[in-house]
Amino acid sequence: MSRLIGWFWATAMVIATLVPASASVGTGSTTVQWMATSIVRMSLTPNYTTGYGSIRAVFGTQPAPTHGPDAPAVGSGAVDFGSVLAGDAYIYRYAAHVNVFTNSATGFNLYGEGAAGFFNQNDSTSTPISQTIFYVHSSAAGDANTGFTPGLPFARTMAAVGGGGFATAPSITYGAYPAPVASSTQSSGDFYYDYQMKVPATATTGSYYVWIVYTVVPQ
Amino acid sequence: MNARLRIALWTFAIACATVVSTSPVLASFVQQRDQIGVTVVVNVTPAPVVFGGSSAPHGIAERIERGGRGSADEVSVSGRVRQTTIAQASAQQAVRVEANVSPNPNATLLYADQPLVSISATAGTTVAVPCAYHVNVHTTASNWQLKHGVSNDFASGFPGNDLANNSYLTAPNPTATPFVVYANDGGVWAALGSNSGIKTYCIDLTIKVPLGVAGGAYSTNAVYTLYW
Repeated sequence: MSRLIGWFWATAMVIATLVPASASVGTGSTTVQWMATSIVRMSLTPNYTTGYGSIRAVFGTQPAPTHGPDAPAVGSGAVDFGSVLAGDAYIYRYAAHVNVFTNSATGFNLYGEGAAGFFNQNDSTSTPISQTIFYVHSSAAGDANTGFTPGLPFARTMAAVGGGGFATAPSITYGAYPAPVASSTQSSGDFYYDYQMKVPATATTGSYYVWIVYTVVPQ
Repeated sequence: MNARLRIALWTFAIACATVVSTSPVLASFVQQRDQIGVTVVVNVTPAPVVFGGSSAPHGIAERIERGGRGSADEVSVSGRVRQTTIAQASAQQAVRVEANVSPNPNATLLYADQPLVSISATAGTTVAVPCAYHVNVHTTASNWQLKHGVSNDFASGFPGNDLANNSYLTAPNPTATPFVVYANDGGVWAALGSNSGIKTYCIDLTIKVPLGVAGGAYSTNAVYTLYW
């Protein structure tokens, strides 16, 4: 009998050594990190739909818009107010459409500034852009803004301006960014703008121009 | 006979005066001669907010991490997988704005010395700007009338008549008067004054920014119209 019990214990011990122990369950963390290249794209379309052009500031029925020769067709050219009178105010409908696409999960800022003053090519004088060129929020179509719709002035940039001339767009290199003209918490967006011009009463006769530079930066 | 003739002439004169004063055709001899706008920009700083405790569930470590990573574009998935944007990219494009400016014989008939006035104010406060700009009437016409108002509200919840003016030739009026808002007040302007010859008005502005106005830039146009 005692021999039988001994065999039983011996067998049990052998089995215990042969059967694998049950797997112990533990927890740990794994961090996977990858670097992504920031995607920031912007398309700027002047004269973005039919009906673009300049209208003298009046209340009531609005005259038909007109434009200068450098705004030849929808989606191209410059924002050319054409002939304007010193001391008068104008609105330019459907001036600029800015489309922004990024992969920023936290959105982006859109900056818009003048690269210089409003420059008279005839006598090399300038008028301050912040008192001459304004922007007004518009829409893809059905714009009802007038020359008296409240707008906000463009500022002349304080940052470094590279290149530029009448026929060549300049670039602006920012150290610190100014107040944005628009912000978005989305990764993409569309912005539509009319421009207003308040021609100073003392403006000298001539052909004026300024470049408005838009910059988009992820937040 | 002489007395009868005199009576007849007086009767005729009175009749003519009556016709002149009531006829819309003759009244239309008073015409709008010029109209200008002065842009008023109000840069609003939000009212200070007292911190009342946070109900946010974020832990201290997470808040420290968020503060430390700055503006990096980081996406966290299940707290284990991260995408980090390694470079701050930007895109830039430009559009040219141009015009051909011609002289305007009426440019100085009615003009302001400032096309734009910028006022900084905190929401919930009132700011006064003495002689923010001058409006000049430069004509030899007698009996001209000058009317004024603002074109629009600054925004929903920020009415245009929160902007008041004290407009005067020599000495300020006892109190400022809110501007009428053309878009809301029946499309009419308020009378500023009647006068003759060359005159310059000093315009004191007072802006009262409602407490609930969010921070940002708001604008309207103070419009002046000259008639005679």
